[in-house]
Amino acid sequence: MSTVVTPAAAPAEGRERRALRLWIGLLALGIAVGLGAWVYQLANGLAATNMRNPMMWGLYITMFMYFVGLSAGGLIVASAGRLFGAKQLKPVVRIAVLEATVAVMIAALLLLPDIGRPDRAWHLLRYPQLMSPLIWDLTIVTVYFLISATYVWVYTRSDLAARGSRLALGTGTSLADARRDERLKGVLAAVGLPAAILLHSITAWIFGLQIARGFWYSAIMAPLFIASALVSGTALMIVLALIVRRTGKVGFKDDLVSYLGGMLAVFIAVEAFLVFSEMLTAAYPGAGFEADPARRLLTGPYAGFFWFEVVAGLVVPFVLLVVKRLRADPRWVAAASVLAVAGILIHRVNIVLNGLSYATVPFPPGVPIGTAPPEGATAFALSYFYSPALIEYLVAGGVICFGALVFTLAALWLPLREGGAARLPDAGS
Amino acid sequence: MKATRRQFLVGAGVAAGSAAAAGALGPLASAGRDDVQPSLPVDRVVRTTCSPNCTGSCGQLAFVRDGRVVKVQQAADYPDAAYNPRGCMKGISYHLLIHGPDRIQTPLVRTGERGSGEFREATWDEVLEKIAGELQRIGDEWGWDAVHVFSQVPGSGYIQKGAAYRACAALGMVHGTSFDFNGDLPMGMPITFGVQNAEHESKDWANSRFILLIGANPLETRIPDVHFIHDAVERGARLVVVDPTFSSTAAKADAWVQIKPGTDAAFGLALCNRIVARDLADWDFMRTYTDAPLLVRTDTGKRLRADELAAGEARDPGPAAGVGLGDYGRQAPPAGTVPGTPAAQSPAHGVPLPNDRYVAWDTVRGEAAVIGTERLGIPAGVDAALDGEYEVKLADGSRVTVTPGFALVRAELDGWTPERAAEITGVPVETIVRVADAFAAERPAAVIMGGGSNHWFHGDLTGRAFALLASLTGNVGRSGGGFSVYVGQYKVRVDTSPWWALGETKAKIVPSVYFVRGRTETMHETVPYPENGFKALICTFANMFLQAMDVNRLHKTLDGCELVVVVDHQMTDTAKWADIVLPAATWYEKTDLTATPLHPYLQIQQEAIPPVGESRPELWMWQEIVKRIDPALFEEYFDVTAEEAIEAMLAQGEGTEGITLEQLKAGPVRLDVPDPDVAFVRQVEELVPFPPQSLPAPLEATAAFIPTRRAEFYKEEDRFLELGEAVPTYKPPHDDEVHDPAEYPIALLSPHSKWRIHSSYANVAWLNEITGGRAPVLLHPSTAGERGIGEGDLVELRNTRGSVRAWAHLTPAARPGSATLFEGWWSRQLGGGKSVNELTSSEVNPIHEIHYVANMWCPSTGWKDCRCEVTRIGDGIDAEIAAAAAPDVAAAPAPSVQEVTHG
Amino acid sequence: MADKVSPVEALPPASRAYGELEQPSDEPRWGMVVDQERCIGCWSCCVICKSENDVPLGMWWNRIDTIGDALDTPREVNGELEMHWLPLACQHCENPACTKVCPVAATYPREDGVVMQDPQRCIGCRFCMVACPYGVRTFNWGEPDRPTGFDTGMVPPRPVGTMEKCTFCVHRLAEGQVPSCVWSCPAQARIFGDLNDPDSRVSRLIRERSGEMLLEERGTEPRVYYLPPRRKRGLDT
Ligand SMILES: Nc1nc2c(c(=O)[nH]1)N[C@H]1C(S)=C(S)[C@@H](COP(=O)(O)OP(=O)(O)OC[C@H]3O[C@@H](n4cnc5c(=O)[nH]c(N)nc54)[C@H](O)[C@@H]3O)O[C@H]1N2
Ligand SMILES: Nc1nc2c(c(=O)[nH]1)N[C@H]1C(S)=C(S)[C@@H](COP(=O)(O)OP(=O)(O)OC[C@H]3O[C@@H](n4cnc5c(=O)[nH]c(N)nc54)[C@H](O)[C@@H]3O)O[C@H]1N2
Ligand code: SF4
Ligand code: SF4
Ligand code: SF4
Ligand code: SF4
Ligand code: SF4
Ligand SMILES: [Mo]
Repeated sequence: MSTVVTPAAAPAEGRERRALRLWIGLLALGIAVGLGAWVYQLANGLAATNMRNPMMWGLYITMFMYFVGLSAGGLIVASAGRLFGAKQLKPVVRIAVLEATVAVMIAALLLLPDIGRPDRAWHLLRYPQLMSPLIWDLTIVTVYFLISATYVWVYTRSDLAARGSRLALGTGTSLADARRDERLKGVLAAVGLPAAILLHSITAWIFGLQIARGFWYSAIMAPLFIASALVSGTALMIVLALIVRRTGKVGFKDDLVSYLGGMLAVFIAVEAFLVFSEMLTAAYPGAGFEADPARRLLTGPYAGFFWFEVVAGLVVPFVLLVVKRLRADPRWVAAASVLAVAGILIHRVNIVLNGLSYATVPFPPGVPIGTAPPEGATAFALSYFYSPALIEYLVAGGVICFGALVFTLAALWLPLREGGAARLPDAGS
Repeated sequence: MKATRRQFLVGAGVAAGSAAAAGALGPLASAGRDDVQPSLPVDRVVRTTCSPNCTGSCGQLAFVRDGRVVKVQQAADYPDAAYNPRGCMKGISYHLLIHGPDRIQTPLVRTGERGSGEFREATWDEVLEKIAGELQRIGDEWGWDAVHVFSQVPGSGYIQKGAAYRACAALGMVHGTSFDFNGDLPMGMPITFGVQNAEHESKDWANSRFILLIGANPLETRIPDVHFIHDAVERGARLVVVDPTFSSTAAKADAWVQIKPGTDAAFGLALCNRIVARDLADWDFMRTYTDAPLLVRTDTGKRLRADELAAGEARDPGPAAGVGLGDYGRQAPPAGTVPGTPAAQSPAHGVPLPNDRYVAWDTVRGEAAVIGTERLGIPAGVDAALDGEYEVKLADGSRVTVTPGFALVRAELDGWTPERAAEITGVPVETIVRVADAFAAERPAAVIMGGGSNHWFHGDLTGRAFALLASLTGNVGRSGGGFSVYVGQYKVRVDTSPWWALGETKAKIVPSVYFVRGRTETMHETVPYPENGFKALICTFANMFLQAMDVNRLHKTLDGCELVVVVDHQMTDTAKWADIVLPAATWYEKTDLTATPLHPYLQIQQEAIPPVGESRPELWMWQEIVKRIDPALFEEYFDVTAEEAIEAMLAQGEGTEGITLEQLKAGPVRLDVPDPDVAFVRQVEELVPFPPQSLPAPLEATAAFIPTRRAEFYKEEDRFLELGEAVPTYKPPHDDEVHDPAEYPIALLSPHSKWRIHSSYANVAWLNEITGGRAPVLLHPSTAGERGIGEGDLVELRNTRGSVRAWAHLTPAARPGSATLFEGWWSRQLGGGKSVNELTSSEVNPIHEIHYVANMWCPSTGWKDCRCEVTRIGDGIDAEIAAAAAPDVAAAPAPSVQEVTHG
Repeated sequence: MADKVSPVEALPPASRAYGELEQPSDEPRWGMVVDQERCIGCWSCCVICKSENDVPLGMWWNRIDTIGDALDTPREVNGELEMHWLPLACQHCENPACTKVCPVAATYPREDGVVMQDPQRCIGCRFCMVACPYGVRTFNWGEPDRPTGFDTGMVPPRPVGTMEKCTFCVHRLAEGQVPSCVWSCPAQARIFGDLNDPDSRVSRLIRERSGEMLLEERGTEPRVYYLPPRRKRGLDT
């Protein structure tokens, strides 16, 4: 590992070095704990989690959705930079695509602990059932991962080559190579954007196509997922960019931040609009298949979540970002971004909880829990209040730590700063 | 089985076809599919009979694999397909009890305090020696009759339960009673018809045009039979349910009559009142079959006997006419000949059949006419008066005023206007009137009474009122009609004497209520109550300390007992109180013979698996005990197998002609009874005098209840006259006198739960997954509200006899002012207290002591006749946790109870 | 131990005859009718299902919902108390929501309409459960737990981490016997047969007593039909 770390770490101060060590150590610990937790879960089955028949999906799927969304930022920024010629984004493009790659990797990994028989994961390849949105989604997740990985490579290749790294895969730093890169970037942007759109749409359809679930079953799901992906993706990228800038790995001016902040504001506005029109459509009838879940969301046991999503996740950050003076200050933008990231997380939570936490045939005693009830309790429930078990937090945490570690190391050791190597006069246009 | 083979192919073809179907999913998806395998193989499938204290008596198949029962399912093999499948969710989960955590596997000897539940395992030798020795000692010291053997209703097992009777006959121990003890003995039946009880087989419900259910909840308590009510309804019959609570059955009814608990008699009398008032009554029926025309002396209140009259005062028209009045008694033998009465002249029994001659008033000739008892009906040409007062000259020359029995009945009825009944019952006048009119409008119409109405101190009056309704409308003895009381599995349908008795020596029988509370002043002199009281209890086939009335009083009696033996296969509350626990074999592990009042099929139990652990059949236990007390006795009387005992009974005849053990091994065999099996059909069709015989008693014993040999609505015994119950009437609930309604405003009902048979099956894991396995108290929101009780709260029900805790369930189904706590919850499933029976009463109605025939004219218990107050104790959740965390704590009697019992 | 026999072959003749499937057409499409008027809410069908199929504690392939305020508790409908029961198991939909979403076709519609469940194929993603509008699927969250401590019933137990549900007792169909819940309903409220045969009992009942589908608007086209409760007659003469 050290061999990898050295080149980047060289300029780092001793203090930073220790901080870095500590950080990496913590991530390693998180991973170890997560693995341990997963082993425990494997030994005890998903009974170790707080998921049960009346709430058959939980933290893992929520986080899967969430990280799929987070991965959006990368390609959006990268491609938008190209296709809509937003030059000022250039300095953060590499972080963006790296973030995208890592996020989608985390998402994919989160599915493993969620399925009851990880040992049978290969069945997905052996017996794919092509009608299942899950199959499409796994496919697009894989494709998307490859694209963003390629992105990272293409963007850093020349610098790697300059650095003489084997990862340049023998490519050189000649002008010809650089030209080809530019063409490649164009191609990638062209496939990347639709891929991103697809990724979020298909993930949305896992939920949106479920006739069983009022509130999910709506055409707005895909647009909504795209919007929330844009919000969370962009917001997270802003935060990461600012952090990495403090390590001096990248450099850009504050107006880029407020520019991104501006984008974010727009995305938030769109998200807010979709959420509103969705809730209105659902709640308007006053009762029934869709209205009931809507009412639960507005006033039910999980209402707190929803109102957090609305206020802290949409209203506040939007305000922070539209006020020009605040947007000019990276710290406010950062604050807004953090809120937005959190808001979307809760948004995901709401989707899952509200879609699943009640019996679709609403008559007592409800659906069987799925595990032997404690002495004196019945085995049935009409609705089921779910909060993840410690095990679930640890496992999910482990996966995230793993992603963070990958990101950290990559950030340490990939050339993220624009233009280390040969550049063309017209580069970036 | 041709069809089967073909279908097998279909199945197989389908399995193959599935590949194609799956093809639609995409080539890869459908690859490597393993389709249906056939059912897993078993060692064998054995046909036996489910026999809790239920009345279902349902044929079951035990699927045995590796020596264990892995599935129980209804045999559904009744020749009369209408009876299939027969069986409920409890019976088919029985393997959970056979192989469950509460199963007693070895003999146990108490190590801790009684009731502490601390035992050590022991060998059979040790416990048998101990029991034999102790019985011998107690026998010598106090007399053998100081030993009380309590066993539940015999219908569910004539052989293994009969072994106890045989042992009592042999050793002189006293056997207890059950039918009366259970409050099931509907005293209105012996009082009116001279029988222990009489009912139609459940199949006959389907033939009704109108079904009036009073205090019966067949949807929950007759699960295998209730579909016959559905059949009747599908054919257009009307279903009316009279119940204070909105029971499951009420949910199916055309009309639910929400009556005030304990007031059914008033309701019944009002129905009669309306029918008489509108002159809708079937007077031919009343004259032909009942005591309505028989004259009663107004001076003594006794019935006028022909030989009391001065010579020539009454004309003797000779035996009744060839047929009864109207078109009744068409199948009767020609006039003059006396229809044979089964077992009538059996010499064995000293008591002669009552053959007094009575008198009616012939309005044609305006003179008295003699009415004999040798056959029902009215002599030709006599028009017997049902009202008016007449003067007759007695042998001593004095003149007395006489009046027909029915005139006295009617005098009472006239007072029972719908208005008056409405005040008492809380049922609107309008409703009473419409029920009466609708009922009278249909033939045949069935009156079905259940424990809810019968389990009252004055349940006999309710029974008499509805017996009158059924008679007034001519529904008795006809298919689709009748007055049937379905309660416990009491019925002895074969002649058990060769097994239960040793020749002429029968077991001494003492009503078990006297075991609970000691003798009463009014106890009948022929009850063989032991002079030294009871010093030992052997409880078998019963969860007595949970299910008996007034259990705190019962526990005092126990303190006086030097030996308590409990025979069971589950570690029940009763077993926990024993000195010695004997592990019984279940009905999947032994041989027995069963029958029930609900259907006329004789069935046996067969050994599907060898008894689990050290458990043994009761017969074996008694054999071993007797052997140790008196080897000679064993040699002579007990060296018998269960199968030999069955064959001995079958050989007796009486409905069992031609039935062999082999047939029974193959499946159910219908007794030789009319089809459909209808009560009193011979009386109504052939004019055979009442009563039909009630086994195992001789006819004379029960005929003595109704010396007129007719359905008696006027009772002349002194105590009836003293207590003002000579004619059907209404008396308020007895416990209202014991517990001032002002202080104890709640009527506590403890009916039978669909989830259990009493306490049996309360510990079936599957069923508790549905209910939660915690005792709820059903309260109306208003009743709960007044007491600050919320849904799920822990509440205490208490009266002067005891208290019990359970969790409130607020429901509009409950009647304001009453609470329902289903009987049978184990103490560990309650929030505190021993059983709901801490509150119930053991008081004896003197009317039930006028005669004494065990289980037939005997003190019947009033479970539902019970007042209490309900108070909130705490939050449900806490209580739940406490109960779950420390069941023993939850099960320990609440402190208040001690105060009550020992204070 | 004695060598084993098929539980169907071992049935007493009368019992076996009782359980025989009504003669199906050459291409049967199995379906069930549940008569809500006859149903008494006894759960016998659910218990025998658990027993027949060795369904572990905490799981039920078949259950009885109370159309009321709580289990066996009536509700007030314009002044009148009312209570019905709704027996609920897999509806073996003509257009199943569950099979569509299964990524590995571990649950799939068979030609005769039975919606199958393959415990060897299932990866335990629970997507089918999310998709089913009837909440009748149940998942093996942990090691199957049995009150007897040993396996019971007539089919092999399913492994931890896999989905299960009502199979229409396919193993019995293949042996020419009706599903266990149909056998065991004491109220004779469950009827099973071939919907493709217009003269089968199920087809006739659905026609004559206008059988209804549950949540028909979801378009899953259940092959379990409900005969609705009758209207009460009251006391009018
Ligand atoms: N599932 C099940 N079935 C059983 C039994 C069991 O324990 N469980 N036990 C068997 C035995 S031994 C017996 S005796 C029978 C008893 O069964 P049933 O004859 O049905 O008697 P209960 O269940 O005691 O009460 C029936 C109904 O009477 C109502 N009731 C209570 N008080 C009154 C009243 O004052 N008037 C009227 N009109 N109704 C009232 C109750 O609310 C209840 O709904 O069941 C037999 N079958
Ligand atoms: N409050 C209240 N109390 C009541 C009633 C009520 O309505 N309200 N109802 C009364 C009525 S009607 C009745 S019939 C009684 C019923 O009272 P019980 O018959 O005593 O009640 P069960 O719980 O059925 O008890 C039967 C016991 O026999 C055991 N047993 C089963 N099979 C065998 C066997 O093969 N051998 C042996 N040795 N034991 C076996 C069972 O495990 C169980 O413990 O309850 C009465 N108690
Ligand atoms: S418990 Fe009663 S009704 Fe149920 S199967 Fe046994 S005998 Fe039949
Ligand atoms: S067994 Fe029959 S009556 Fe009982 S709940 Fe099931 S369907 Fe209803
Ligand atoms: S009921 Fe649910 S599980 Fe059964 S087939 Fe329909 S969708 Fe699938
Ligand atoms: S849980 Fe099993 S059956 Fe259900 S969708 Fe996933 S793989 Fe298919
Ligand atoms: S058909 Fe078989 S599997 Fe389905 S509910 Fe009935 S018994 Fe259970
Ligand atoms: Mo009883």
